[in-house]
Amino acid sequence: MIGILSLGSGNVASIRNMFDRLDVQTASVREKDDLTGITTLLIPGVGAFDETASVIAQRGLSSVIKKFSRHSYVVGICLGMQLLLDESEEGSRRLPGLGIIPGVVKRIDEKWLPRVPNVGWDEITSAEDQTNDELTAILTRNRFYFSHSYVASPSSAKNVIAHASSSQKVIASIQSGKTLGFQFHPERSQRGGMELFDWLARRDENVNR
Amino acid sequence: MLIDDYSQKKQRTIVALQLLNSRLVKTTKFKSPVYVGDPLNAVSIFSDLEADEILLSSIRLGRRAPPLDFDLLSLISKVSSTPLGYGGGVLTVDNAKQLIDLGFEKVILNSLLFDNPREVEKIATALGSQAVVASIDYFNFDTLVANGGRKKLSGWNLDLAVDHVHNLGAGEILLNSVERDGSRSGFDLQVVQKIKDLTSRPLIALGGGGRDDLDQVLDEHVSAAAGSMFAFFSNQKNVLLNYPSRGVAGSSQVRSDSLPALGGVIRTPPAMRLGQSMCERCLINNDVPGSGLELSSTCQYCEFHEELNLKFPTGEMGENLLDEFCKSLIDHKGPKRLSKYDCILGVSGGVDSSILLHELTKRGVRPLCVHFDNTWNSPIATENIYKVMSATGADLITYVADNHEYDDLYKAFLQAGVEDIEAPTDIAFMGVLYREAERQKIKVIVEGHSFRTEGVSPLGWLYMGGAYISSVYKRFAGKRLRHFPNLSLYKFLKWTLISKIKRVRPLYWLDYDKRVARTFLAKSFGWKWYGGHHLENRFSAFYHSFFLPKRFGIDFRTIELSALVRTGLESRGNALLELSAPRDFPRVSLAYVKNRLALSDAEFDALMNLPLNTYRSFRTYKPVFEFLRPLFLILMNRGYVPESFYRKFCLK
Repeated sequence: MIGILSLGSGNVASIRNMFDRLDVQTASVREKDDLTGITTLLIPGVGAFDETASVIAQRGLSSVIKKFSRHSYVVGICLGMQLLLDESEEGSRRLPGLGIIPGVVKRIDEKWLPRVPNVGWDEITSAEDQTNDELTAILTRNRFYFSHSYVASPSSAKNVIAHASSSQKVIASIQSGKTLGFQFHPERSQRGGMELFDWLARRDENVNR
Repeated sequence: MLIDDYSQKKQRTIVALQLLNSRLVKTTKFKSPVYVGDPLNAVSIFSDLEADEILLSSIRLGRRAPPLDFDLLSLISKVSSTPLGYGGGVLTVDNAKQLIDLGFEKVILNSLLFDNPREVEKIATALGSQAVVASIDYFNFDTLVANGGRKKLSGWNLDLAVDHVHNLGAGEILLNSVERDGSRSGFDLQVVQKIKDLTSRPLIALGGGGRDDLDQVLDEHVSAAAGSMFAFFSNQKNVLLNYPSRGVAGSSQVRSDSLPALGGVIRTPPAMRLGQSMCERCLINNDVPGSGLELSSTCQYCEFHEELNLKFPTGEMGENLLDEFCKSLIDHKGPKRLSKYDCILGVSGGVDSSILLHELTKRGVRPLCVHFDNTWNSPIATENIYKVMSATGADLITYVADNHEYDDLYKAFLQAGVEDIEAPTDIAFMGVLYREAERQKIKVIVEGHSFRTEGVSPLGWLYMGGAYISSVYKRFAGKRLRHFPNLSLYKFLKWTLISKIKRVRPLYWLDYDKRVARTFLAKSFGWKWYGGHHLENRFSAFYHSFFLPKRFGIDFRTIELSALVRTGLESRGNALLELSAPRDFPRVSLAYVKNRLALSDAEFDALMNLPLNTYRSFRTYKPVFEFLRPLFLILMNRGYVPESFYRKFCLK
């Protein structure tokens, strides 16, 4: 079953809606015990890095999620993807992320894009050495909606699956083992998002088969 | 600006919609709101048309900030798979957070930017800059306003304001020209150019945009937002929701086989049961009212079909008759002509009305097209109308139902326990056509019906009439209809007998094969097939694919497939096979119906399990029609009412 980390804020509602469209059931994960029976954990996120990172820490979920990611699927979306890394430039407290994928989160440099924040639709280009053909096929044949001021910067290029077509610096998707991250918002990316969520749902079903 | 590794991409084309008392409206210069339709329906249409983004704002009529209707906004968020923004009445960081939690991507702030800048800062910090759109409403570079255009902001100009909102942490700047709102006179390029150099934040230009202006304003720095362009078909403010199709490479259709079948599959009753007899020629069985199969091995519908067949020949003779008919329409023009139009044609975006429009215009007829929008249109319907109208150059008038009254009316019909829950749309459609014919002094209404491909619906499956509709509404909604374009007996007789408005079905003369017509329309106009008869409307789809089969075991495909078998367009074996295929009604579509009608699951289930009822429990005109049968026989023979009308309503 797919579980959505529900910390009382962010895009949980629209993520659930997109799965409803596909007729896929999801569960809310609020605390450690809710992870029972969950085989894919989605980490949504809108807002500030520090705020969400501190909620995760307060609920004692940081190490739980990290442990979970060793044997099950974790998918971070937007801020949820940034939380997968070690730390972020955003916020004054410099709280640590989940540290599942080595790297940091940086503010988008105005040299990378004509307008910051990066808001709008973009196509996606897969990284040269990416190892997830099934996923990149879906990513590269659709367009996706981005809305962010910060961007992931993994330490190793081997964790990069794809970047936004308009700028190589805008990392669109990262992966390490069973953990995936998407900088864009699949839940608001129309048929591209639907196709991507459908892929996640089928991948999850295969675990339970 | 020097940018590393950047490949140019254009910014967004954004739909900007306005809300007023949970209705969708469009203003001109921030004033005189025109009703446009239902917000849920519009958002789902624009989302399905893959609009880049949808920005909603509640407008205020008085001094007070508009209320925040979180229930409505939550439903709107549910029907959208497109990014959403909302503005109007967002006064605190908690308001803003609540919107984001409902699934909105951003909040749009205007008055608050000047009334309470500290709160704006808090919102930007809590939600991130990308979630805050600063809307700057202006008349010109030195005249800014707030409170929906009511309050002049003295001491401000665009330069200062852009700097101000930049410092507050707004992620995007929406330049909203009051003067151009609703005018379609073009975007304010001068101001946009100036502001472009003052800020590095994404810019959105709003006000004055038409389809031809998009290319002038859109570039890698500026997004374009518009309302009228997407809400109206022509400058006369005829509502027709539309959005330009996107030619982005690589974004191919999701292959249907790559997605799992959506839930809610309903098995129709098997074609044959014990003790059931079926017409030897078509698929009508003795469950169909009026089949006459207890007396004969072929059904009454086949017999009626043959009668019509004799009366309306096709082939060369039919072509000639159609040409003659068209000529007679055109000849009405000349010095004494009453109208610049030759006839009225109701359009729905479906195949019948689209092909009829083509057949008429290619023969030189100038029809006035009328669309009745019951606010449950699918995006394909509005898109098809837009394409066919643009290609044929015919004029269009639209009539948009009052969304609240219409939803109450549907609810009343569900509560009545009857089959005929789609009767209101059929009646309103006729009502609107007659009204427009009367107003424009047009004497002929052409209808896109074809007995050869659609058949005639059995009276026991669908009864409709003006008195029936008002009596169901009165009993269950407890009110009188105020906006519904009803067809009362008095008006019907007046329009028929005194105004002498005729109803003609020109497709009867054509060798009409829908499959051929669909291919032709797709090729010539970019028209799209919506996958099944009546599925161009969301409520109609619910009625045919869920309500009728589930509650009454009725499948209208029996009627259509039977007609095709009689015409020889389909073999009986194939038709039987097609009829036994299950009807799909996706769960999200069912959820949409419940949301629109504000029904909980339990309330909906209760309605679906009410005792079955019929039109006979309500006041109808049927007895009057039966009494006036001789009059209607004359009217039918003179072409004022169709044969099927006479047969259904005037015979006992």
